[in-house]
Amino acid sequence: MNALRWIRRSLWFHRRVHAGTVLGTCAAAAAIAGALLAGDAAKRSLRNSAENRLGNVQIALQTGRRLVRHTMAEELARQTGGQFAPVLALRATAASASVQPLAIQLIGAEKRFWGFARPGRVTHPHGDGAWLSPRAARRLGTKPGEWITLRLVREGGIAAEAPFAPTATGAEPARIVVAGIVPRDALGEFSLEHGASPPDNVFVPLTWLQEHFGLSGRVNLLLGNGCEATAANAALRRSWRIEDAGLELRPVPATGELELRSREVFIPPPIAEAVMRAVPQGRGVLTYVVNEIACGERSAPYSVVAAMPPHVEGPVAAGMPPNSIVLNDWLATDIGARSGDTITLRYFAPGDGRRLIERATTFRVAAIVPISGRANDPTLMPDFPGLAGASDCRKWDPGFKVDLSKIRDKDEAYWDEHRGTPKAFITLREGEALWANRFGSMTAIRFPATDANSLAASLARAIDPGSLGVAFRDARAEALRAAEGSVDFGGLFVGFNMFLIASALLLTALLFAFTVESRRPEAGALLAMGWRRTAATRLLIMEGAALAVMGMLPGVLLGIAYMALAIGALNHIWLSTSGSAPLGMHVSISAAAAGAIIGVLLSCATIAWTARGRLRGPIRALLAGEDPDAGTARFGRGRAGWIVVSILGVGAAVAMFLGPQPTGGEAQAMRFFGAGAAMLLATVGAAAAWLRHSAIAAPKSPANFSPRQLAWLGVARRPGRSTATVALLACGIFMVASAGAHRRDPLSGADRRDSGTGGFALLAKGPVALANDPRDRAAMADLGLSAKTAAQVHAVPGRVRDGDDASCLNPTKAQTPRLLGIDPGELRSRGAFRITRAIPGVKVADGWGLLDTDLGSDVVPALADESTAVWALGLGIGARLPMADGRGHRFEVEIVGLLAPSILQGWLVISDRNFLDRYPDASGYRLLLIDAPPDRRDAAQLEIGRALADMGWEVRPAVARLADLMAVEHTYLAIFQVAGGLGVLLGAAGLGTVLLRNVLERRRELAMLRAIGFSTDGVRRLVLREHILILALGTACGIVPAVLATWPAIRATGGTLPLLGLTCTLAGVIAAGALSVHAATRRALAGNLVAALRDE
Amino acid sequence: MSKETLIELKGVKKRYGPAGDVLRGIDLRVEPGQTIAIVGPSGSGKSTLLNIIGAIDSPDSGSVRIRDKDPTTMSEPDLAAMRARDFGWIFQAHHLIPHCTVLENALLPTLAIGDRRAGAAFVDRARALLDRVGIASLADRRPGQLSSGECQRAAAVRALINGPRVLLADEPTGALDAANAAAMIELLLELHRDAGAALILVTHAPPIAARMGRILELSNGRLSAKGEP
Repeated sequence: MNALRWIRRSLWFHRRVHAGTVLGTCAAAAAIAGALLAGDAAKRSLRNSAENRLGNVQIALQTGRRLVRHTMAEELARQTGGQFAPVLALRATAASASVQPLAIQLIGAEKRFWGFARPGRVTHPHGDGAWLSPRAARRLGTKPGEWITLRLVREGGIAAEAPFAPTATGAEPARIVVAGIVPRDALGEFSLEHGASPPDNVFVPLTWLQEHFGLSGRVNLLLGNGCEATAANAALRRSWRIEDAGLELRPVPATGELELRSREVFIPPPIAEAVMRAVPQGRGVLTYVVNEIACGERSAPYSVVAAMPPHVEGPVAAGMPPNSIVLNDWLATDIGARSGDTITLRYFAPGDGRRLIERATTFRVAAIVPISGRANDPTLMPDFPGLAGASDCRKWDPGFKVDLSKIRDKDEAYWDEHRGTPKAFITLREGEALWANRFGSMTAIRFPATDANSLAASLARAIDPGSLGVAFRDARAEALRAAEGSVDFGGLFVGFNMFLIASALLLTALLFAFTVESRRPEAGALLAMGWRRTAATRLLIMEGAALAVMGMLPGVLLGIAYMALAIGALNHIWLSTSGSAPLGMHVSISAAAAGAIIGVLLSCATIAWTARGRLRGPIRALLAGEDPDAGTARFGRGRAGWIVVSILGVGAAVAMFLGPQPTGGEAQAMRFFGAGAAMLLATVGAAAAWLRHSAIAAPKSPANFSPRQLAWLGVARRPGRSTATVALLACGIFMVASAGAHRRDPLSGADRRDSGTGGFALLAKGPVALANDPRDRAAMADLGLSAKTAAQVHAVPGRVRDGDDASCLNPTKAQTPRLLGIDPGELRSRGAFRITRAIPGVKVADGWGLLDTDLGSDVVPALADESTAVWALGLGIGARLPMADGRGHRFEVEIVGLLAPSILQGWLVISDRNFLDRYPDASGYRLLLIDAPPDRRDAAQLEIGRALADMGWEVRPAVARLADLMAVEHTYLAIFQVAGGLGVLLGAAGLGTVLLRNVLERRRELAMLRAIGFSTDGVRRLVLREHILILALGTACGIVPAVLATWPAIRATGGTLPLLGLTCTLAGVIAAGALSVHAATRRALAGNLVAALRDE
Repeated sequence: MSKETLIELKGVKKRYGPAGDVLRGIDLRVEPGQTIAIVGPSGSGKSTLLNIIGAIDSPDSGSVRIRDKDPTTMSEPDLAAMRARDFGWIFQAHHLIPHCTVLENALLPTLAIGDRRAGAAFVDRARALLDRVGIASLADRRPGQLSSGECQRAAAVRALINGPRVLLADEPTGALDAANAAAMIELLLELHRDAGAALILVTHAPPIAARMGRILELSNGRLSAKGEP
């Protein structure tokens, strides 16, 4: 008979006993395979999603607010040999007949764009209609043939917060018929952002979009393939023209000069600096509209004043003393001013946001000049929106409040005859001192007459597109990095299942030990007849390995079910919070095989360890079937070992908690799991030592001998077995209890300022920036709020720099997180939110003042929600994240403090001041934290929602946002808890099996108790009591580490232990265990016990 | 040590926990072909002595020589090989492997030797021995399908399969009724004669002991010839 035949026979013969071992190995394989499968499925889904979003796009150039020529695509293709597609991608809203405006990504594309679809997936949307992504179609509730209305955020032109910017946000409606739906894998979900939810895309023909919204020939996105970003950037540099920087060069008839203007009205400082450096003869001009020019009692309203450097031909002469002004004769006559008179200029100076502050400055009249020569130049006035095109003054609609009643007939006549010809002139230096703003300090740069083309070429060479933040980047590499996920799902799920795997292996060990124990005489006989111990042990191990292999297949199937459960639960939450189910149910053969192999190997190792342990001892002891642990001397040695284990466990846990705080979610999770495991080892070690002490302790006084003591002696009788059962129970209970301890109720204390809502009632955000400062009551009323609501609602506005959502709602890894610029004073005065940790040397109590920490010129302090920093970005306190500012300059954001879990999760919060320093082009507010009295909360939500609906804003209770964020966390906890529940089930199964085994082994002893007068119930109570003691010990060993391991995290976030929920959960677990003990006792003690005596 | 001496124990002592000294200086010589009964009250250490003789236990002090070798100094593989070659064991609880057939159980000691070339010869020998003990027809049955007497016969065949020099029987009739016990002893003696092996038997039963050539009584940890002080 060979070994295989032996094993086959033995497996069949002992099949009932082996069933339990197979259960344990199956559970181990399931836990490992499930974790690996879930991790693999998540990773693969995110990668697929990234592939779908990009198609074959490799590199991308986003031009931001400045639009480039769409012929740039051909030029780049010609230079590099790659493929390039011009695209106009705009933030917009879309509304259907049945759905309110929804924020969408409006994409003007032509066939080169669709050429980037993956091979075999090419769909060429055609015709003049709109093609929708599946999600956009679903959310808009529309289908081909129906009409939708688009409103877009106008790109290019003057910034919304620049002086004289129009009040209207540029949302111009256009109706278009829906032509079809673009499949998600045919670029339907095209996006350069890496978020949880696919974008709501509406594709329209590029030329339609350009023509319809006055953007002919211009695009803001170039996509490329077959060319590296560096080569593309070099080609971009060669193709770059001043038009691509939003500039134009035009002749000035009045002077014969050439003038450089910007579509943004104010020439952006990096462009102005580059131009002045390249052509030093250039003369900057800053032209402004002042509210009033007064001389004594007489004044003229709304006049254009030009600030320019001195010129020999005037009107500003060299050597003009400070505070001098030159008036044209029309104005001088109008206000009765003469040379040497003092006049006052009243004008709006730019304040915060769009707020304009009226200031006054006095000048002395240096000269009065006729409206001729250089003083007769209407082109000095830039194309101020609402002014430049107006046929008469009364039709002015500038971006500031104009009292049209002040405009006189002679003003109208001046406008008719001279248009924007300045009435007064000051030096450029003085003009800059008054009116320079973050958008620029010049409205034009004039050059001496020369060849326009060669000047334009040299200016284009001087303006580095990179300095404007315009550069190709490797979009594919970024997307693939993001697709690696914000967390290592595989590692996380293995962490979740670590204790379940330990439980399964413990159960395997326990049940296989029963098998080995029952076969010790068999092994003894083999040894007695000359078998080597290693051979006999090997045979048993091979038999156990066969059991592990048997458990593998059902284990993998259960692992797939676990994966489906975990992915399904996460998708369910993401679906309800972000409208997408980003993870797919991919069953990876390699992950399943890896799980199966690891499961089998671990089970085999456990079985080998068990077999070696249970087959030790002298042959006579094996033949007699004696317990190898029997003997007080051995118990004593074991006790010392367990005490050492316990001390080491405590030491390891303390070291982990007192050691340096790890950065990154996985590292922190591993610290929790590691510390939990160490403490679990400590409590189980202590329990084992206690059991062994009880086993060898001197008998107590006979007078004190009680059934309880008898039961305790029963527990301590087989300390190894009891310890294994305690450990088995403790693992499951640890998981359930620690998951329960981490749970938080989003509604609890949500009104408090230091809660996750910051005490704010509502959170509003949208794709279109609010130009007006919502702190201004009038601005709120302008939105359409009722007077009562406007009076009672207070908003803290935030500026948003688009980027990746770095919240737990986004499973991809945020590459460039969103920035939120907020006034720290607003939050500090309210005491809003809770800062839990700060960089060394700074007090947490400084709170929002941390955002004003001076870290040097290239470092911006930021606060981040713990989940954002730790999980999404993997950064800790003091970590720095490289970013690019609005001009392409690199700077770093340093995390100076962590916020307790809050609605600000997903953003890096910096001060409004720093935000504008880094992104001066950014205008308006896209996020509002809104305070409203409880009784006005619903009305405020309704009214603000209605007022901002056309702009695609979403207004929600802050607590709802917090609940969404917590729902993801709670889903992870639920998965952990389900694993814990399975662990408890394994524990209960182990306890029941141990009970049955104990009773089986002790039937004669129990029969003896019956014989000497114990009642059946008395015997049952004794058995029950013994095993309830094990259950209680296991519960204690699980709860204590759970509470201790979770306490630091709970304390750090200002939370409290959810005692009620925790108690209920544990009561359920203990009740289930007690029920299992009860059922097993009844089963074990069924039949005639006394008959066992007769067997003796 | 004489060439005729198979086993020699000198001053062997063994102590077990609180029970104290079980063996207090045992001297014993076993020669080929001898039949020895070890008798004594329960707990006197008979089985312990047999285990030491059979090299599955070792003394605390004193010396044991088995065919001129000291088992306490032998490596585990050498010791196992010696057990396989020189000893055949019959236990009170037969310790047959329940999932193996009677024939397979009988062949188990041959697996310890590991000489696969001799496989067929061993099978023939096992069948012959099974026939010899009267259970050839049960060769393909499992222990659970056999009576106690049949199991013990199968255990006897297992003990003889490797042609041991010493047959060790620890209460071989303890689990048998009187008729089966008598038959078993007859069988053992016949097998002893056929095989020429020494037979050392532990028993409580005087009639069984009386069938042996020497009767040694173990009492208070000391061994003496029956009837001697």
